[in-house]
Amino acid sequence: MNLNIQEHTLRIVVLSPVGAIDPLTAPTLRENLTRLLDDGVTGLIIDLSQVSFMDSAGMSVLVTALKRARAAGGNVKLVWPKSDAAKRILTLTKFDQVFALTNTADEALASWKTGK
Amino acid sequence: MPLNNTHGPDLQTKHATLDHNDLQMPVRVSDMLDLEHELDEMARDLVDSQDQLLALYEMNRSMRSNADLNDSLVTIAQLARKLLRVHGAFVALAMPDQPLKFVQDPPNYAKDDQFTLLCDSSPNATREWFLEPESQANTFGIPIQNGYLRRFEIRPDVCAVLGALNKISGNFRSPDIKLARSIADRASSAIETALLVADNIAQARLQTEMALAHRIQAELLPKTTALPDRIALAVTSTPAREIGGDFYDMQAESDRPFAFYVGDVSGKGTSAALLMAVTRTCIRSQHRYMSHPDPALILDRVNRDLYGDFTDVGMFVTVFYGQYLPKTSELVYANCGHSPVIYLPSDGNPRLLEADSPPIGVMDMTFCSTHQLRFAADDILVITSDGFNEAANSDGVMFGIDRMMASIQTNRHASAQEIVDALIAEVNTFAHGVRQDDQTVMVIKHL
Repeated sequence: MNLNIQEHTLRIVVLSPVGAIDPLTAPTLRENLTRLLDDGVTGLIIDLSQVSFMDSAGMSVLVTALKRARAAGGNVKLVWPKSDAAKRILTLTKFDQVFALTNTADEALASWKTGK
Repeated sequence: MPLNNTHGPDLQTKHATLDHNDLQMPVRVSDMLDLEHELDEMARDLVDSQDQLLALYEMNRSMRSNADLNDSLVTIAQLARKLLRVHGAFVALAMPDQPLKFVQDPPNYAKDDQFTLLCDSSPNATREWFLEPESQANTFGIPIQNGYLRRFEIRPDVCAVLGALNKISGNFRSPDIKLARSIADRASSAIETALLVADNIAQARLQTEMALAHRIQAELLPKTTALPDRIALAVTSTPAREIGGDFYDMQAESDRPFAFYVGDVSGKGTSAALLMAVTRTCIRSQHRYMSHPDPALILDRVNRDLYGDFTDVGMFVTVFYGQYLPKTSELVYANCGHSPVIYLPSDGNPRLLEADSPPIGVMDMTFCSTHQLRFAADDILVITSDGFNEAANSDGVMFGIDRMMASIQTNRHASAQEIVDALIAEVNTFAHGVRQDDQTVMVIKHL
């Protein structure tokens, strides 16, 4: 009998920024995402549930990470912010068409496992 | 000592005294010789000190006229050679992210490829050291009889080494070392002055370039244009810094519908300004040369042209592009991620014209459609960048879209320019005059 066994381990990292993602704080998020992507992580969940506000500087960071992850065969999924101000920028600028969004990080993880 | 007393009893006594004094004489002569030697030493030190003072005075005078860093280093090396009476002197300066600056007098006296090792800026690094006759010959590429090197710090991350090689006569004595230390101290402040001057020049150059860039960017944004009948348009754009990423434009061409657009490049400063100029030019070209300049098609073509560039730099641009069609009294528009755009019909309440596609540069395609809107008498369209609705007060509360709508509604009977002025005034009052982001507002009113 020939038995071929293949084990695949999917490495997914969840980042949970807290507070505002603006020109002052976006570089820190960018550094962390860049480091993870450089380390070969292509499955990223960015939990925005505790983000109070996000401007275009923050969105730039998310979009750059998304492009890099997708180019490497991965993806970046977002968790909806609870704050209306942060939620609004995602909907008004139509970034909700760009990212897969879930209500919780667990949902995002589950959707990865089921391939949805 | 007198020896002429010949009295009897006294004589004996005197003799005894004489004997005693005679015994002390060699000691006193020795003391006097010591004193004389000390006096010589003191006199020599005094002369040396005076020489040093004169030398430092000369150095101060020479350094005062030098503001250029390289000139300062040359002067330090020349003066060190002259004042310390050595065959060669050098100064090596180590600055972060720059190659070692090395100047010696005379030029090409010693090999200079090992001097980087000397400029160790760590706190525990050796501050001064002497060179032995043979041990350093290979380092400097010349025969070394003696040498003295002193490391000194100018800034926490900038250090230098002053070196004096081969005394013309003798060896380095204590006054030479004191003088070398004084030269190093003076050199430190001279280099710091030259660095400050260089910083100021660089700052002034940057400010001049930024002022020029500001002027060029302001020139790119049209002040006036031929407007269609019964259309009033007022627009203003103020960058948060000298230059910004916001832009607007109007195009009135005989065979094309009147077009207007407002864009906002993510981020601020020079990179945003460069991409703003590129995007504006790209939209202008598409509007001018496309056979049927459909708004959604124009933005899709712009996205295709610029997607790679925006991806390379990790940025994007939101754009609202509209055209006025006088025959049907309509606006047609497409919106790639731009907000807020507020439409106030003469017979209704203000409403937001939301985007139906992400900004340009985010994906390799756009999802936007061309939308139509009635635009007749007293209808108003207000397009702003997010510098208005996201302007925050000291409590962190943002001005928001609802306040913008209220302002526009309150001033609906005012002119386009008055609506612009009122909105700016309200936002400034709310944010206590602090502008955190580029602010662009365009108001179009059908008369």
